[in-house]
Amino acid sequence: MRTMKVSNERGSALFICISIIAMLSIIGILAVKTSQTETDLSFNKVHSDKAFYIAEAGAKRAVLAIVNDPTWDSGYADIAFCGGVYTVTVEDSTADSTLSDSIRVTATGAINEAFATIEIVMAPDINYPFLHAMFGDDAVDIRNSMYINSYNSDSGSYLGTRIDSGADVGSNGTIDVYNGALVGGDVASSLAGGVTVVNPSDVTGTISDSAPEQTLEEIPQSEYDWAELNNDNLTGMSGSYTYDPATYSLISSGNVVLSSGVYYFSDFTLKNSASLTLAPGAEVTIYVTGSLEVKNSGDINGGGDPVDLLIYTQGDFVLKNSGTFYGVIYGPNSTADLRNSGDFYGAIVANDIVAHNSAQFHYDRSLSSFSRGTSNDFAVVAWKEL
Amino acid sequence: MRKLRNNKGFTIIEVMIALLITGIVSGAALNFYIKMHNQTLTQEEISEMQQNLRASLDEIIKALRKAGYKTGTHTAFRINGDSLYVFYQETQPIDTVLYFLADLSSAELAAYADLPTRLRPHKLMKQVNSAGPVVFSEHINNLTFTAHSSSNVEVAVSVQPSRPDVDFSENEGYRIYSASERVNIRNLIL
Repeated sequence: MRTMKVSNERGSALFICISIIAMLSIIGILAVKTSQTETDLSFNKVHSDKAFYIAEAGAKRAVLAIVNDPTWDSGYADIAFCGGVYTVTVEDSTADSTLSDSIRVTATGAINEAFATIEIVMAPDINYPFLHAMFGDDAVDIRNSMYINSYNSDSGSYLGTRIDSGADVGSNGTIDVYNGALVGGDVASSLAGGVTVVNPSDVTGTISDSAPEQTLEEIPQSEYDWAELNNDNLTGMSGSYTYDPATYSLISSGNVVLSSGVYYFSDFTLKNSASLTLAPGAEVTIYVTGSLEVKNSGDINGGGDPVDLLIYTQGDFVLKNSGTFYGVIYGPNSTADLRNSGDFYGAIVANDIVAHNSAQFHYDRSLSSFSRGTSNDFAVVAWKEL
Repeated sequence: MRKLRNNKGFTIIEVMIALLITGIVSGAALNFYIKMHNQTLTQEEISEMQQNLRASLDEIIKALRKAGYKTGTHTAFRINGDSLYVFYQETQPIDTVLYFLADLSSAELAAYADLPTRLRPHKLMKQVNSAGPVVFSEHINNLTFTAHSSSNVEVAVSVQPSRPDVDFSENEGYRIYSASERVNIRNLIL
């Protein structure tokens, strides 16, 4: 009997058990797979986000490198960062002529097969040197009935466009406004406590000692050297003057007439009823390496457009007891001394400006759009993710 | 002969007991299977919603990030209720991409006739330049744009499943998933 029973046990319970376990396993595996897919999906999201920020980190590093050194173009190859890598390429107009003077930075971030690419375009800042009526890097000192307002030579005459605003006085150092002077614009310095305005109602705009610091662009020596070689001193000047071609010094007590061109002087002196006129339609740029003196003179470019008489100077500038002056003077290292003068139309940028007992100073607002090429400072102008 | 004599068959009681046990076991198994099946469907529905949500949000955010690319003085973006215009330069001086929610057509709405308005799905539409709007994603419950500053915009998207889940007691069985992200528009904070 025992052997009989054994031969009758066919093992169906075992079979059923195994089947049920197999079914349950399949269900379990499917469930695990579903959640695995979801995990993968969220990992993909995490990785693509990470890749984006890794790319942005690489791009920002390259942007900083270019800000520090605009000639830098070596880029980065496979730099490890936060578990991923970034690769940055830098291209300028030699790689793609449509870039002109701008730089293109392309940064790719990669992590676990997720990629992101960012493209940034950087362009040089444009210099606008004459955004102020007067800008004195170190100091501006305005006293004794100095009256400053603005007009716009592009839109009409002085009388038709003058307003008691828009003629800003700026400095990275001290600004003093004393004794009934009137400033038709803002008075702003980047030096805390650097602004002294005895009577605040003398300033029509705002008074601030927390303005952003302005960097004055130096005129490169190479530009003076170029002017020394390429000036029109001998061909463009007429009238009454004494000029020494060996030393580039000019002195006159008569009328000097300049035609369009570039002039280069060591010393430039107009005195005792001398005057300076521009030939009709002339645009004149004067480079002065020494002193620029206009004393007891008649009109300088009288009634003209200030932008037509553009003076770059390395030395000091004195305008005393003179007639009217229409022009712009840019001397970031100069001292500008304006005393007892007639009207000044235009704008002045200097290191130190003293304006005493003068009649009037009229800032030409059209100068605000006068640009002097591009600076060496690159800034990001466009950003996109590819 | 011996073998035949030993095949005695089962009594009715034995069969009844066997059937009862089989019934209980297979009933429990079926119940378990149905539950698992429903749960799998729900999980799939949820993961589809999440993908829908991610894809919709990512699409809008990626477009919004490049707003103002080389557009100069032109506005970089414009929010008009639940629609968003993004301006950038790609194929023409000013390219425009518009995202907005479209209501379902009345025929499509018939399937959702008993639902309150707030649970009726919308379509997320994308329109590039003068091309006709195309459907980017469906089953969008809501879409909002909030400008926190001139260069920071919050995009919030809510999605719902394509069909209700009978085991979910709220919102007539419709789960609503939301996600939002704030974007700094890079071209405006260079």
